[in-house]
Amino acid sequence: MAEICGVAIALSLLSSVNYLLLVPAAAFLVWLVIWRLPFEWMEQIFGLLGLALIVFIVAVVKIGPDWGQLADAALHPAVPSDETVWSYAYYAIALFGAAMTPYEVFFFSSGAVEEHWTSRDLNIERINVFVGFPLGGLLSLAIMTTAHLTLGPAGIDVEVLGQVPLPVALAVGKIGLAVALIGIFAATFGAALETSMSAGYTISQYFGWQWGTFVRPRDAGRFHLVVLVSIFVGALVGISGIDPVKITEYSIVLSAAALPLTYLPILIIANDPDYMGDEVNGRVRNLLGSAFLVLLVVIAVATIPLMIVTRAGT
Amino acid sequence: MTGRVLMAALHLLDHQLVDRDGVLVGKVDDLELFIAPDGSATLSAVLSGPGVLASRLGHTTYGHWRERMEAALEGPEGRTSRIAVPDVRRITSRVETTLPAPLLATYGSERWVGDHLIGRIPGGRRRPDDGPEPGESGIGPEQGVTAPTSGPADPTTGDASDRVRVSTVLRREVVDASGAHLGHVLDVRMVQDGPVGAGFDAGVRVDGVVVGVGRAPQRAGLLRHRVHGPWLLRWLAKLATPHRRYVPWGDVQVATILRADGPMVVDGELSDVPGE
Repeated sequence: MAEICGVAIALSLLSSVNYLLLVPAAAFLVWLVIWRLPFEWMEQIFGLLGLALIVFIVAVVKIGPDWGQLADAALHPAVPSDETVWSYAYYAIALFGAAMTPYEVFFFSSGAVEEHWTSRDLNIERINVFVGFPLGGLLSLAIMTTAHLTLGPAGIDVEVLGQVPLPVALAVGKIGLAVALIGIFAATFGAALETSMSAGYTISQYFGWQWGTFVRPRDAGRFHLVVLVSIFVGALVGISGIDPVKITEYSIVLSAAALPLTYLPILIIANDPDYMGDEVNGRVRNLLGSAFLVLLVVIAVATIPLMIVTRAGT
Repeated sequence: MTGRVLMAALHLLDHQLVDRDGVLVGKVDDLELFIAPDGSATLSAVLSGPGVLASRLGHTTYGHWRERMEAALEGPEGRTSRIAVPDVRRITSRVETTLPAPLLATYGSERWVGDHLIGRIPGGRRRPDDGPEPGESGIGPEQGVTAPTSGPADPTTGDASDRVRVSTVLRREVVDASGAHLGHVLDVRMVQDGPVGAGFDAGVRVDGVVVGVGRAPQRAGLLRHRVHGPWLLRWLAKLATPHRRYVPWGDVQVATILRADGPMVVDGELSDVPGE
């Protein structure tokens, strides 16, 4: 739902039409792409367009901040007196949930089947992860930094998605703004595709139904029906005017709490020779995996109390 | 040579069922065991479909709800698929049958949704990367196959007096001959004798049952020798299932399984679980 709103907001920034009016169009567009575009195209088009977000890094460089001071502020965070450490812990969990939401696990594993991956594709995917995750992190940092550098001194707090590309306009100009908008559109659109297809994947796979875009839609009717309904419901909630940013925040925090449920079965299967053959996890991977599981459990247990104590980070 | 080991709950129940053309057609919802007059048991059929699952989940609110919902979706003729062992082609992490999808129970709602909803949307009858849309005469899995008159969709066979569903075994309390409580059945160990890959002519015989407390660690398969890690999870699994023992099928009083309820009575000494 929030992703569809994100697409609508990106479209409204381009067209200056109120985003609520664009939600149905965005929802239809998302559905149309899933309906007609082959899986590989989807991935490549929106992945490549998403790279447009690099313009935020360009913007940071162009603004030419005092790097030393910036690094110093980032490495020695000071909690403002009117906020507590707990609300920062809460936002840390939110960031964690955003970085590895359960739907991504279902989307990528199903995508591997859609694209007929073999063990040869594994190295490419490793590179994807080791390059993609840091790049994503760097982009988030760049977006925050541009806001900090330009909007901060002006006393503007970023409240809505619409303010995010403004610093780029200041630093790189109109073309930069256009590129940033394309990037935001691609990122939100890609996320909308992932979440709605994940809904179809998880529900179909739970019941053992035929799924995927590698067969005729009619032969995976129940899968496409679930995708269609989830987009429709998302659009309805979007039109209702609920703040999509708040919804995103709650859902990523709660998905962080649910992460052990996704992660534990994967760790078990990774050790099961019935599935993995000779490729079962070795000791180092299991040590890292177990440590990570403990971390996830701690986060899951801490989430709800933190949410109550901080009144959801306010 | 000892055959390939198949644990009923770990390796078969809830695994994906695949038809002869690779179409995904639901889950393995239950297994049917045939009990010979001498008391030995073999796997006789794989069961799938809403009617099967609801009875396996027990008479809980959810089981009834699933049964009603799925019965409404599938229609009366397709509640249960019974896939006899000769129709099973291969068991990997999924179960492949030689039957076509339309003969299987959960395909009814797929066909309905495909025909009435998704197939009516423009483009619904061809793949995104395909050529022009085929007409009504397009090749579909439904061609040339009519609904079965008996055989696969025959729910009564599972209730015959010499057959038992593995789900009813998996729920049982286990007591010894003097009536002392030993725990519950955690899983049923089956062995496929003969060379692997020779199809199912070799047959799958029931070797025994794992008895104890704590179902989840057993069914996660963490306790097997072949699974080496992670040690944290294996340690937790051992902690959660302290007294697991094995009862060879020969020591099970089979008559107590064929009864509708009551504990399963076993004779003789309990041993260590093989392969753990």
